[in-house]
Amino acid sequence: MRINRESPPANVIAREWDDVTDVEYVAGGGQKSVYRAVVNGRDAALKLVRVPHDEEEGPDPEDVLAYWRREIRVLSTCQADTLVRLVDWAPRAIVHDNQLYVAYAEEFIDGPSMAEMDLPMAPSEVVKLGIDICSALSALHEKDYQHRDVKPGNIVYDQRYVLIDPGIAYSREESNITDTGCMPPGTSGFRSPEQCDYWSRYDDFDGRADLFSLGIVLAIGFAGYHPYEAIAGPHATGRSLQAAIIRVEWDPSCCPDLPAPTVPILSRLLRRHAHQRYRTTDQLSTALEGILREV
Amino acid sequence: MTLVLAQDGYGPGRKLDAGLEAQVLDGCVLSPHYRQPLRNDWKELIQTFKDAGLALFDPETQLLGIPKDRMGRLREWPYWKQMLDEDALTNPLAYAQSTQALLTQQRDMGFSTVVASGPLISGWRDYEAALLDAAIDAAAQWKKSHGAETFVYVGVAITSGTLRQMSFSAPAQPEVDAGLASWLDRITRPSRTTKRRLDGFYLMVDWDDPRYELPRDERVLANLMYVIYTLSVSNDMPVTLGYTGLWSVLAMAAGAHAVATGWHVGLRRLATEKYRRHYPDGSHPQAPSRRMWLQEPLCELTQTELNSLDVKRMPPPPSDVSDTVAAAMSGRIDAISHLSDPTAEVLHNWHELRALAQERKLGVGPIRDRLAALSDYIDEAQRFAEDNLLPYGAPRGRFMHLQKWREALDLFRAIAPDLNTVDNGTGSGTEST
Repeated sequence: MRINRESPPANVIAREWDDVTDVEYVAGGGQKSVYRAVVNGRDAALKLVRVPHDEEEGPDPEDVLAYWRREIRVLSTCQADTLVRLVDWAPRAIVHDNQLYVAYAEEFIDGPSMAEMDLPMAPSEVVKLGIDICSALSALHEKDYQHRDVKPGNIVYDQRYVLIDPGIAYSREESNITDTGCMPPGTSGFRSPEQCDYWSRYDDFDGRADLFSLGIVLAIGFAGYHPYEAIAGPHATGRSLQAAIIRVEWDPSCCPDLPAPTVPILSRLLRRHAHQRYRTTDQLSTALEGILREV
Repeated sequence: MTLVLAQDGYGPGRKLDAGLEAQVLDGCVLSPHYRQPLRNDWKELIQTFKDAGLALFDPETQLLGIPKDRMGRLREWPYWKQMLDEDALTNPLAYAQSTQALLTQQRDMGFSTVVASGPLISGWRDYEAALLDAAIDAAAQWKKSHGAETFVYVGVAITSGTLRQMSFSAPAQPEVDAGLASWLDRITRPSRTTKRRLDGFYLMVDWDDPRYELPRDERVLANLMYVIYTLSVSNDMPVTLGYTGLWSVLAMAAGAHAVATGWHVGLRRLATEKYRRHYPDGSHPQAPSRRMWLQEPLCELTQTELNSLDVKRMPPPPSDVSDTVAAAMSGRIDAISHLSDPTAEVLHNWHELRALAQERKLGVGPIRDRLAALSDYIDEAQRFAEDNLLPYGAPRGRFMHLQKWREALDLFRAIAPDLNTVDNGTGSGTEST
């Protein structure tokens, strides 16, 4: 059977669903394609997930469907102004060129991601980013979900900083869903040490892992470079940065460009052991609010 | 806030009576080990401390798995029987159900603070961790459905063997041993159920090897302080400490003092340096430590030796001891002493010391005087025993606690060196460090 890995054309989608108009292809990768569209009269990001026919063709179809359901469940149960929201549109499926796709719609956030911004950012702006993302993570952690992929590319600015793509958000209560095989979930260079712990089967961690990743994001915002770059080298790859994260306790001397008031906060966020970090997003948020004036 | 609690129900003793008589106790810990269940004679005690103080029930689940002949009356208690009958030690679900029954039973007995506890964590084992998780989640669920007005503490027990572990992989900085770190990661894990519902920790330390005594092993003390610090300061939860062996309230005060002033960090570095393995051929970057072999007790270390270590993160000694003692004693650490043979006099001294500190009226002089008074008391008691009791056949072991008190006193002085700068000349008989 011919394997179709191309995303369905925008006009096919518009023709298939009456309540979807002005469809425009934005990006695609892996199993997912993203379109900008007007859904039920509202600007939205329409996400189509390709479901393989069998395991030989890609990930287990059952897993893909489980992820799709989970992402919808996460977004519908965890709500905050700074966490991307679902658009009121029933998730559905489409078959195009003998290929099954499942779809759902999120609000479209029209702004640059942190990865596209000039670095370093203004310190006060980074603090605001931290507070906003704390609020988003709080909504997730409140329901016992961990985002597991907090990184500059998943933080978008539109009047406020919004955390997007909880596609691999995870709850220990739902641990029956198979994860990504031999690789720990998340992005290299941003995973907490415990996220990479093979012996804990990559799932024996909690919201404090997200706080570690947020610590790296904040350090990048403040200093303009990865906080482990001084350890892993200036041309470090994600993998070598991740190796440094696992093996070495971070020291503020690695980032001489950090504003002084931020050092105690980042030092606590970037501790290798979870029990040495902030316990909750509320604690971190309070600490960030405390230095807002100083920076 | 530092509280003085006496334990009742574990072995004979009149500490509770003596403490109550002298009006120096802030609470009590009631143990089921040698008590018949559901007797009413605890009610008055519970009521006494209900509003102003702390009355705790120690479920003693850390003893699950001990031989039957050492269980005392524990098997008569419904929750204990349920745990044994349902083989809860191998089944987290059964353990959770038994925990809920345990909490309900405590509430029915009249306790306003109830304790849910896991098994003893002697190292890092998955099943023990799973049971502790089950107990913590069950306690949070129980509070949600039953006990809005009830405080729920999580009782965790750790062995001194676990507390003795240190990691030496990174000698430049005091490392936490992986087993201890995993244990702390686990019990501090915030979850949907536990995030806002649990009110504190009841930390039990089981001295599983008497060769390593608290004042004589910096590793145990340093790690204990680290655990207290992590649970109380980092996690913003009150910690109540209990001992299954005898150590004194002064040692606890020393621990609280060190945590409050940050000296525990320096102590960790000291312990790391002292116990780190060196190659016999001297090939290690640092010269072999003589102390490693001598195992000198902490109380013999001088402040000069402490200062000679290059401790970057060690905060400077406080300039005003009254501030630091007040901070230690009014901090978030609840000290609990299971005094095996206390006297009202000792408790009274401690109580006054604490009261003065809380009112911030305490300078170096009064603390020194108070410590000297304690020291005098120990000397006097020792002399009395030597002259009047031992010659007539009293077993020497009966008075071992006096030596423990002496060591604890020395420990306190070693950790609070401000007290040693001036010899007060009271003739206490304690060698000044």
